Amino acid sequence: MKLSPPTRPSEPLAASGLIPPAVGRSAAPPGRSRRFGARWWYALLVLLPTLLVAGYYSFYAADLYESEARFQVRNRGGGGANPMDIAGGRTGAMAGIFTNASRPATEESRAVAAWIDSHAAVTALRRELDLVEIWRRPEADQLSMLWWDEPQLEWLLWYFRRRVNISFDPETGVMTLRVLSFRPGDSQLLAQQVLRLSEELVNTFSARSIADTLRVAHDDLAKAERRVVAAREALIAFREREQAFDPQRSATGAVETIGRLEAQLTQSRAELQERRAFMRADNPQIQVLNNRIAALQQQIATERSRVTRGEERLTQQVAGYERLELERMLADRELASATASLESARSDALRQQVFIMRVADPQLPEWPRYPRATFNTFTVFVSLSVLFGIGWLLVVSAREHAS
Amino acid sequence: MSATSWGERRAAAAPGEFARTVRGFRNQLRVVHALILREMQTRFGRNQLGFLWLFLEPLMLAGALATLKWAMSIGDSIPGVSIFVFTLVSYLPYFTFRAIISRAPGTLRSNMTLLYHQQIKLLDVVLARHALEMAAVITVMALIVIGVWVWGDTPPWNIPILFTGLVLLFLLAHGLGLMAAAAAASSEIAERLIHPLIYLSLPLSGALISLHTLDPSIREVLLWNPQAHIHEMVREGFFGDRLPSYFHIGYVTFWVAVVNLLGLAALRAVRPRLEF
Repeated sequence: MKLSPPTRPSEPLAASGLIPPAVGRSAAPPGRSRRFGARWWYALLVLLPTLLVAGYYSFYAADLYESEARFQVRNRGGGGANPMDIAGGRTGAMAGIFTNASRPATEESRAVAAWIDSHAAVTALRRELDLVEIWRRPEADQLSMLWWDEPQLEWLLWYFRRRVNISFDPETGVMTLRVLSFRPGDSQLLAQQVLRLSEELVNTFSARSIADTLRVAHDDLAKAERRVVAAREALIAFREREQAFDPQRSATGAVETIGRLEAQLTQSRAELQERRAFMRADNPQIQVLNNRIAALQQQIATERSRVTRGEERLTQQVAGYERLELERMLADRELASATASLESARSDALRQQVFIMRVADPQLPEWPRYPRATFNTFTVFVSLSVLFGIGWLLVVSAREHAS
Repeated sequence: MSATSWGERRAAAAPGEFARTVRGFRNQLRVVHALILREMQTRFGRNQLGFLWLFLEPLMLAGALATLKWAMSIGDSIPGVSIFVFTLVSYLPYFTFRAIISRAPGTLRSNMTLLYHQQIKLLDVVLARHALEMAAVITVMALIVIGVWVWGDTPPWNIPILFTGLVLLFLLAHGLGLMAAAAAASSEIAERLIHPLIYLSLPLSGALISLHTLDPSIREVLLWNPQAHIHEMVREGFFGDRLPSYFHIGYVTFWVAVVNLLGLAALRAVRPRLEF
């Protein structure tokens, strides 16, 4: 960029000191005083707070012990589902969104994480442990301890979230629980309790989902059973009432009997015709045949009257019987299918069963990892320096306008 | 200016200095105001409606891109989020960001003659331009919000987050613009490099794609870029729960502070070459 103009109108002004020279280049008295001012302000606004923070961490701040636990929420059919989790995590979130249904363990993990971060967890923990006592130990310092003797749930939750941290790694499905407190034993105990309560929560999850799955199947089975019993009872009642074991079969029998008798009658008549040709009418054999024919006719009439008198009744009987029989068959079939679906629901439920697998139990911390004194002090120093730099440059550029 | 508040605290220590600082800020404000008016006239002419282009230009560009995407149905469709509105909301901040940075190198050169006035400093010229751009983008965003509210019947989720996102975007672009201006003043190669760098940064900015639809590993890489956080913030303010977003205000603030410090310092460093 060529920037030298042919004339420099402001040169005399600069020479007379009206335009302030750039900071750091000038040794003129106003420049020096400003430089001194800058140092002074830097000490006041940056170094002093940094020193305060450093002093707090080195002389006053109480040690915080961290207990860490790692666990996985898995389902029993997990052999198939967990590799899916990992694949879903790697091959793209879009796939992950839409195949959520096939990776239930991830959903349950998130539910557990959400629970640990909620007031429900605080309330449940307070029933087991004295949280306020744990975070108000005598060795705690005034700044990092729980500030209230009798905190409301909201404030306790606010503090709880600062001290109990749960994170979920979607790639491996491992959840990490970190608990901070002022005594190593407290941290471990608290982490153990959180883990135990999470296990209870997961158990209620699975119990409910199993109950939900099985309930429908159980209902279906009970209905099918009732239907089968009702069908059988109806059949028995029918038999007792109609005095017939199987009306269809007895009807067939009657028709058959008549047919047989008629065949015999026809045969006897043919014999009679044949004998008449060469015998006298008073021959005893003809007499015998006549008698037989009469008896057969009599019998056929009886049989026929039995069938025809009850003709209408018998058909009705048969129709009613058939209806009952069909109902019994259907009921049997429904029972069989309900039993089968209960079986499959049971195996489904078994697959839905979720449980917590502990990867690493909470340890008893030996050395206080927190607070991170050096890191925090350094962060304060750097951020304040940057902010001071910006502010100072702005002020300097503003002051140039005042001259 | 915000610095007056802590300027006040200094009153007890150095009354003379404090008065000078306040007077300086007041003068600077007047100068910047005058420069904004001048900038509008030089950019849009003396036509009464010329300044409308300030708002129409980004709106038209964003609208054209949004229509294109909507018509071609490019991109992942997210249930409950129209591609048209998504592109509009995503591209507009990016447009402003790009406009501020790509115009920054020319700012100093085109305003060089103004520096003959001793009241006008380098920073004022840059500030005036950036403030103008920011006013334009906030107005256009307000128009979009109202338009989508009225015609699309979907009110924005969280206006403070949306606004904070825009302000952070402006501050980040301001810092980068200062650096770009300083770099352009110090070397011509740097000036030529700025444009390609801006274009190359588009895919890394996370402007036109929701981080939620990306693979977690890619998302993590993109989240190193503070710009991606800002775009996510703007979208969070607009869509809220309909589109999960990933951002961290502290991280962006840190970058904004660092970039602004470097920008102010760089501008100060190149001043001896430009001023007289």
